[in-house]
Amino acid sequence: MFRRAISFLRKRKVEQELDDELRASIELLAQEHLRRGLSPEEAVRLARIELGGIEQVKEQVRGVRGLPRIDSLMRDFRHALRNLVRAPGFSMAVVATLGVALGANASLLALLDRLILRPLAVKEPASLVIVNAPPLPARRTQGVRGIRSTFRIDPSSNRPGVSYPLYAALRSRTPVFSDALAEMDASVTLDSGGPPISVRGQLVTGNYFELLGVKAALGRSLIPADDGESAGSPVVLSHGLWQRQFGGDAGILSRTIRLNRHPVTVVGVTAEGFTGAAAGAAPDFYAPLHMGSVLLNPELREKFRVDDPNAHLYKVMARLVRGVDLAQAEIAANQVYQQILAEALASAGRPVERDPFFRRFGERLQLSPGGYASSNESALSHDLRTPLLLLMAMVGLVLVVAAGNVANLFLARGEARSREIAIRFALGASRWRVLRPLLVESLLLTFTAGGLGLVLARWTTWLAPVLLNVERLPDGVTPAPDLRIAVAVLALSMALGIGIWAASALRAVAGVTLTGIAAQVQSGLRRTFYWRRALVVTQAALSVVLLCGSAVLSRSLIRLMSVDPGFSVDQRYSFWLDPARSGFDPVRSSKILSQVFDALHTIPGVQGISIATQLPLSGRSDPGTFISTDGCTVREGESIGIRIAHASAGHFANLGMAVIAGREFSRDDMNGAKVAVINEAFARKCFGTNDPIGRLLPLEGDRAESRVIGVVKDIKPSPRAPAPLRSYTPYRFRDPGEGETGFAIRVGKGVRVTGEMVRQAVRRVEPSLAIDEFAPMAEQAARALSRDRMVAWVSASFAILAALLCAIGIFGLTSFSVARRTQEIGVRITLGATRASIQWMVMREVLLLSAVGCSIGIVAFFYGGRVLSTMLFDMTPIDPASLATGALILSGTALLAGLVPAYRAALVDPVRTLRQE
Amino acid sequence: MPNAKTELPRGTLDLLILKVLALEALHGVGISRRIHQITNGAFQVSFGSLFPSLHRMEESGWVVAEWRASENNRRAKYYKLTASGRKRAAMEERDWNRIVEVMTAALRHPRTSGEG
Repeated sequence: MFRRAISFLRKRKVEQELDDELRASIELLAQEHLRRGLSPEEAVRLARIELGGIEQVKEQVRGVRGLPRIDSLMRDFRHALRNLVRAPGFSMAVVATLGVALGANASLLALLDRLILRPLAVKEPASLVIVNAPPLPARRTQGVRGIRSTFRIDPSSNRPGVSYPLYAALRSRTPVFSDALAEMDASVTLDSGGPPISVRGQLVTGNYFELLGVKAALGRSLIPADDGESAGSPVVLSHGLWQRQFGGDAGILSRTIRLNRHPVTVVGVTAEGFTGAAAGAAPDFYAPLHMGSVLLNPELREKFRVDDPNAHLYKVMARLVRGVDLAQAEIAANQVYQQILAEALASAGRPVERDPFFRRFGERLQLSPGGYASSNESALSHDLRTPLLLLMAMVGLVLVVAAGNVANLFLARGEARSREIAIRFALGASRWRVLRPLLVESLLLTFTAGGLGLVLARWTTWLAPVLLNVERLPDGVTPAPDLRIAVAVLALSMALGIGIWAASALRAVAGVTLTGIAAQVQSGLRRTFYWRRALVVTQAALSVVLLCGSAVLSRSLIRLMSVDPGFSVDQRYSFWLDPARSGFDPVRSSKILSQVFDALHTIPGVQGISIATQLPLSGRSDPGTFISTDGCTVREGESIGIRIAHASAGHFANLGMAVIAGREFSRDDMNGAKVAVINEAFARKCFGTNDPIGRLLPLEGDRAESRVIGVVKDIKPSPRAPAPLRSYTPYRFRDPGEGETGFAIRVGKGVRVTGEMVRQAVRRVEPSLAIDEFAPMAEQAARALSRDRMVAWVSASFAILAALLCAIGIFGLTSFSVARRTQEIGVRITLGATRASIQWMVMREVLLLSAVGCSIGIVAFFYGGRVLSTMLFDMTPIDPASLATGALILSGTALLAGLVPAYRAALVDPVRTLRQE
Repeated sequence: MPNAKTELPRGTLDLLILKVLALEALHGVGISRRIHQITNGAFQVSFGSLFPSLHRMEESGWVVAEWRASENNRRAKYYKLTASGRKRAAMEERDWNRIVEVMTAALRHPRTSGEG
């Protein structure tokens, strides 16, 4: 047995040797004939005859060797091919439905794989860990009441970044880390001669590339020596950016490019395929940490110092020393962290207890696996994970429904051939011998469908960015199937083929024995008929699950769309401008901004313009600060996190935001007076039911001296997210480095403003400025829901596809059942049954099938539907209206599918059927 | 009847091959010729049964094959008897002799010789 297996593994070699051996034998035989004086041709001819046909001998040996009997396999294959070609409609329908379903599976699988499943393109990804270390308490300085810390909270894990001193201490003191890196994102403007573009990069420690084991495709990568300020401004470009922006030109190494107008030296390009330490983030460039002072956004740049202990900015990854597993490493690293924490607490002086704010991040260091696409979530993978998994599950179900139809068709054909099969058994054919051609046929279909699916997935690659509503998918993220996915899809096709075969062929021959062929055929028929009904019921149940799911999602979308955004989007446009990014100093920047403000008024139709550092729907996170809560109803000494934005006079009216109490900023507020407008959420949290107007808050500097003059309605960053506690202070053009500035333009009814009009106005002020994200606000509001809309649409399409497939299944089964009962129907009609009662008889069965299917489906959805919870807005998956919709749609489709056979049944001519008897 | 062609009885081919290979390693054609020789041309072994037999024996480990130059300097696959092949040969020979003994005795028995 073992030898047979080995021989099977080495079949190519054996096959080759066998061929050689037979050739050699023919030569030997021919030699003998030659010696007897025959001509060479004659000698070879005789030798061949003597050997008795190379192919026959080979086939005999193959049988001995456990080699596939090529001959009989080929026969099955040809037989299958002939069968399929003989029924081109059947074959094409099967290949097309399965192909579409497999194609959708392939695309989603590819996306999921790139975003979540596959290991990063780095050295030994398994030994990489992400280090989550809660911030150390800040050192309090004498006389200052509040502590201003800068945080970057990772949106997916909701954990703060690590400060440089903590990173350095962990790196040098943790024995289980062979090394650790720190990194941080930065968005900058790239100026390489052409029009400036926005790019995203990573600020990294010098050991980044060495630790990850990533080589440079060109030039060099960053090295530890780049860490010091004295190293100048070395930058490594990603392979993707190098290809896109510089056409893969090797001369890039000698060119100077500008990031935020700051000249930098391109020292290298990363290896192809490396897209950073988080899937889907795909940084465009890598620069040493110290370049944060030019590359970070202005608000951070201002106070940026690499080693500021109160700047909790970095994401830390470490490589574990060989042989240490995650759990051991976490214990060891946490011990080190506890020591560092104790030291920090000791040197912090009074109060020894940690600030409650810090406490909420916990006091334990945690490690999580870092080497896989899913471990280090980028914003994109965080956003897409649930929708993609959901859609994956849905296409999986569609695939099963489609496969159910194919199995049913196979069963129907198997019945037609059951007499033949029974006879072949009777003649002594082995079960396997009878079943094998059916398996070959089934596999032939599913593999063709798998191939078609891969081609479809390849062709529809362009669809993904459209559906996901991104301009361009990040480098390394694509729905185009690669070898990995191709193998997976072909494996899936094989499983499908075997499944379909098992559900149809095995069933058709089960229990067919040598005795009583005729009777067996009859009972076999009946049995497969039950089995076919079960298949159709399964299809109906799965379709109901899909229909209910998509109904719930659609209803949730409708709810999301009706959420009051808190301001009006119509007749409003917005864009962003950042002169500092183009290298202007604060004084010049302020001047430019106020000139732009004036210039925009010259655009015809503009009714109002306002400026703010945060606009609704922008999707930009704005600086957060923690203020001590003196004067609030919150417990004394506790701090609360708030967001501060600056807004110009009349901003709230310009955006149509309701002022609930007090008043909004006037022109006079813009000069000097420390006033603030806060939102409802802030007012409620801080002042409860008390009147906030006139209260003082520590918004500028540490002293509570900003007077609250008004309360405005909350604006949610997106319909799902709760509104943050927010305060607005006056936007003064003098504020340097406040970051990007948002412009909100209100226009008259029916007026259209184009990006070009705005660009021209801006260019008149300063030609080198680039405007960002100009768009009508209504469009931005729609975009905020694009992912929900996509999921709702795509799931509805899949659900309808499944329902149609199910309808085809019901149609097929009912037609078959009518055909089988033709005689019975004829007799009934003869005995006086009305056409209507015959139709009812048929429809009753359809009703029964769909009712059973619906019930099972709804029960299944009841249990399985909760996976939808996170996708839904303000509702639970078990939504009666949605369940009813799903069941109704399916029953309706099923009844429609049953109408034709029912109609046909009523037209049965009793005389003819009886004559047939 | 030395020249009459006789069908090889089932099971005897293996024994003949093993016997032939016990003397020296041979290639397929050589084995066929040798069997022809030692049976005085009585048995004509078809290659369609010879090669499957050889490969089966190789699978069972009774023979091993190696490629070497033939008598006229062609590359050919030579089969050589292994230790377990020798044991097998001895066993099959014993079995065969026993069958022949029993069969001969049976056929000579008065009740079958038509004399009784």
